[in-house]
Amino acid sequence: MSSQTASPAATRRHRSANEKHAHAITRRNTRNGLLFIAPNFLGFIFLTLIPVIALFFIAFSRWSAFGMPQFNGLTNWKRLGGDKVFWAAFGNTFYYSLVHIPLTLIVAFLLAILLNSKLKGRTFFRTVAFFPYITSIVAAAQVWSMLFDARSGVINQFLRLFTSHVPGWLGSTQWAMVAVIIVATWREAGYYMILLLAGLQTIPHTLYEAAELDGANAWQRFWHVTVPSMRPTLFFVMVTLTIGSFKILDLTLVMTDGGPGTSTLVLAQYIYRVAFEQGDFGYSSTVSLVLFAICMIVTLIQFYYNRSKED
Amino acid sequence: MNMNRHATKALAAFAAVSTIAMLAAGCGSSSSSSQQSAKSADSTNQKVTITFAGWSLDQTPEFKTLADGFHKAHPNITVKLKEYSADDYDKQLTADISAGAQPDVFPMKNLQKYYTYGHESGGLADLSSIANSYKGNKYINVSPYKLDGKYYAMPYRADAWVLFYNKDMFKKAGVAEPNAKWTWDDYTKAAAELKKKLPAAGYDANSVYPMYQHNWQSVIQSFALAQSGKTAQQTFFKANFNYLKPYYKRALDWQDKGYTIDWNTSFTTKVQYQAQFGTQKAAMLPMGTWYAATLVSQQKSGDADKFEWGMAPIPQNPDTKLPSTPITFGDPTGLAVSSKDTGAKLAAAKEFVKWASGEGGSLALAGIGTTPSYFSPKVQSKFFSADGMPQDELSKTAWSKHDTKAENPVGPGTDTIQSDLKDANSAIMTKSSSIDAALKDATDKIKSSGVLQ
Amino acid sequence: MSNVMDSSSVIAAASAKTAVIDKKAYDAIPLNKRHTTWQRVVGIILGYILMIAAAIFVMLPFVWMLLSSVKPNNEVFAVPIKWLPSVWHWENYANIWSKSNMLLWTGNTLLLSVVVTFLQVFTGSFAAYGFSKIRFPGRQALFLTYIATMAVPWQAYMIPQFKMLSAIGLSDTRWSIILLQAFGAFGVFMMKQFYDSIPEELSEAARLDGLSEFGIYWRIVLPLSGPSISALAIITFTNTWNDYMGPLIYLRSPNLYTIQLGLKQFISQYNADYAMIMTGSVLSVLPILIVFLIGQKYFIEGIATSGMKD
Repeated sequence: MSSQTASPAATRRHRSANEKHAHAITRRNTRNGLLFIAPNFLGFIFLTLIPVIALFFIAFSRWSAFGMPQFNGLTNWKRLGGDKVFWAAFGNTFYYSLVHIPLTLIVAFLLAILLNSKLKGRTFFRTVAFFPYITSIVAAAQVWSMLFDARSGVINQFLRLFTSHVPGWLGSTQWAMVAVIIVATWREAGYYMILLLAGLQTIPHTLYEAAELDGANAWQRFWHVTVPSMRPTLFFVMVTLTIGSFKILDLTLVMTDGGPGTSTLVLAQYIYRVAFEQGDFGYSSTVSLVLFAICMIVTLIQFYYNRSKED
Repeated sequence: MNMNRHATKALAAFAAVSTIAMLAAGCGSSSSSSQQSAKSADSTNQKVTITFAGWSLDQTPEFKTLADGFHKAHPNITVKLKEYSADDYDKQLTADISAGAQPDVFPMKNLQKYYTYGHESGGLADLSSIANSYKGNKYINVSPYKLDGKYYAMPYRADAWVLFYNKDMFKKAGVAEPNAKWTWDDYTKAAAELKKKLPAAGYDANSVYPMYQHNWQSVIQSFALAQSGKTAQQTFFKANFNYLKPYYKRALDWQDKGYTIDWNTSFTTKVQYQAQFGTQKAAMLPMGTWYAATLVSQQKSGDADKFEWGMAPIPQNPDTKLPSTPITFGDPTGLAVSSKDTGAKLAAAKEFVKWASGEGGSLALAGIGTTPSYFSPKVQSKFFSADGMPQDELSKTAWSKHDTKAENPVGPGTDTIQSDLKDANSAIMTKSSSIDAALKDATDKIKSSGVLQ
Repeated sequence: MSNVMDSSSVIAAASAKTAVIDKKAYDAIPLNKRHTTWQRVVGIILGYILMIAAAIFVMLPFVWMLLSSVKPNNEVFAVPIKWLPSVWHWENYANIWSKSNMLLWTGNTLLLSVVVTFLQVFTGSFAAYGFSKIRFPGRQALFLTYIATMAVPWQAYMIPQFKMLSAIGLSDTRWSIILLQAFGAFGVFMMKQFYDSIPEELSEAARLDGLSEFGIYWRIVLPLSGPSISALAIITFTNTWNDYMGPLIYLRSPNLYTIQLGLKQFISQYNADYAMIMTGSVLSVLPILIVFLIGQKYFIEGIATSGMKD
């Protein structure tokens, strides 16, 4: 959108014309901006920011959750390099994210567009789409485990119509992650659909009208009206989806507990394991920082890509 | 315009409701801290209230039984229960101790966690005086809690693993019941026989199995370690897992021959062992003695079928000499006292732990079918007098006479080794990798983690 | 935009942009166009069949949950799976109220969810306005800090956080859960992105007309963000309602228990009452459903009312 670019340019013009006036505006804007942010920011600093900053110290310490962390320099980081379980979890997390992110985005976007139309019974279908997100995760895992059952599950019975080499799903190191991804997409598509739907509804209808007058077909309207107008929402959905995917935990915990072997062990579960099962909060913080760094790099790429598109 | 008006109106209404709700929230904060503070320490007949952590209080009667029983014996001390989660107790306790906010008395679920808390947290009071009072007492074993020459917890229940079996199914199938001399080979033989004869006795061949091997790693690994004849220092803490191999070979064999539900089905569909044995889907079940009480109550409530059952000593390692006392495993559950306590409160908390670990608490627990820590003849007869408990001699011996090793050997690095062995367990049991490959992988991972000394 | 416009005309312009739309524009939205040819009719019928089939598939775990809630306890996880109970235990739905403190848990959770949702929506949309519509130095850095904290897994810093809140005496109170959930970065981020899609000219013009920043927020931006506020409210409510770890770490007094924490009570160390857990889970979905149905009305209104206006 034009908002981000227009303003620095405008500010520059002002500055050359009247430095003092510009300073006054900046001061007023800073004051107003901070006032608006303050109610949230105060809570945010004390409840989130300070503990998160503490994490950066703990990651370089030995800490069992009791007493004060003991600084131990790079010991944790050296351990990271040779830790086979960590690297397995690292690989699994990327595998999961790289498949799950595009898949969920596409499914959620299709759902949102479909359920944004004047479809009869859309309230019903929207509710249905949101249901997986509110169904108890234990129930979801149970039914999916049954559907995925290698011998008698519905999915393999269907696949046997086409091939005799059916996957072993949750009992196989190759297929367990695929099963987890399918269930995760099933579960989260409705959630992201809600966010995208809200974004779709803020697009001014006149834009579509203008595009149609220009002779754009449905696909062109989608690509040249919907997508650009949705950019802020898409950015938000992409970032939360990315971070959420890299931080995936509850589903693998309930469905596979990281197994078989370490085939579905992800970083967040490893963090949890090292902290609460092995009592090593120092090393767990180190792994957390790695996960944090991955999320931040991907987010920053999205952030700057998004800005370049807006320009 | 429609939407605008609606949004603003909805937000305003929402704001009003929320403000009221927020005011109400202020009144809800707990008042526990004010009740806790007992001031002067000297007078002995002063009323003292101590807090006691328990989980799932409505479903787990042991905590209330202990609290009430103790209050009856010591009317000036009131035990107030704090509710914790059964599944995530250690997470909550870690947070509590970390913030110095632990209750006065709290359970230690297993020895490994006890080691962590005792060694690292500084949140547990020294209970050596209670341990010394049990010196030379053959009814109770407090040695698992010895840590650097001190004791930071006392046991109040001491479950051990035994073999549960369905007498009706054995009788109907015409298979000889387990005896005190069984090895795992005898167990296998009986399973083979049951597999053949159960369908003829009218049991559904598709859903009824000779045994149920639950999906916990301890079901294989802790037996193997306890019965290996070697010390954990020689094997476990050297990441040398050869002792597991024969146990895994047998387990895979049972699974392949259909003697038990396969591990993957059991794990992914969350099979409840209580349902498998309780509804007669399995004739034999290796399980901890805690299950006796559950089975009795489920047979009463109708969740389990009515049938005759018994307990036998757990089968022994066929590759070593048969020991005089059957070797099994099981961690005691202990009670610890907060190191923050002083004066009258500390004295009251210690008194409570002493009572709970001794004959008084054990009688109360035996009365509700819980296996307590103090195995005097009086406690044993109380346990077996409960309606629905088996009465045969084998069950009584199985329950009271065993050489019980720790579920996991306790020491630095245990948790990491256990995590990697858990992964190996799922890899082997799903046949994702061979026994040798999975165990070698575990050894490599443990070595790469740097926890071995 | 002209500088002489007064603020009321700005608002009128704003609503004109989104609310008053003719039929033609509505039809121009992808998938909304309808010419009745027979291929279209067949297509529509096929589409509905497909969607209903998909709906059933999507609902399957919920149906299982529903059926499990009336099963005998030992049949919930039976192998091979049993869909229908051997005995229908409808009384579970009556018993749960006496066997547990379901009413108390529901009350507690409702209170927390409503307060948290309100605070999150209010402070979130307020801060989002600051980030989106007011230019001041350092706002990008501050905003990135917000996003950055979303990238840190909570289980990594929950012990330091717990120590802080315990030190000021807030553990085992409702305040801990409220504070924990209400000031998250999620709401700020989400609302900021939605405000970014509101044309800059609207707030710029209002500013030149002398409307205060709060005035712009309250009279122009907020009224335009119905769908996004309801989306944020639905999601915050659902997440607070279903949160397990927060209450787990902070609450110890049975009278403060939330639904998710309470349901876990049915699991003791050696046995689990899964039928009751499922009964509770089914009941606990109802309030979310109500919030969802109320919230999603704002989605429809954005289009439906304007579509019918001609």
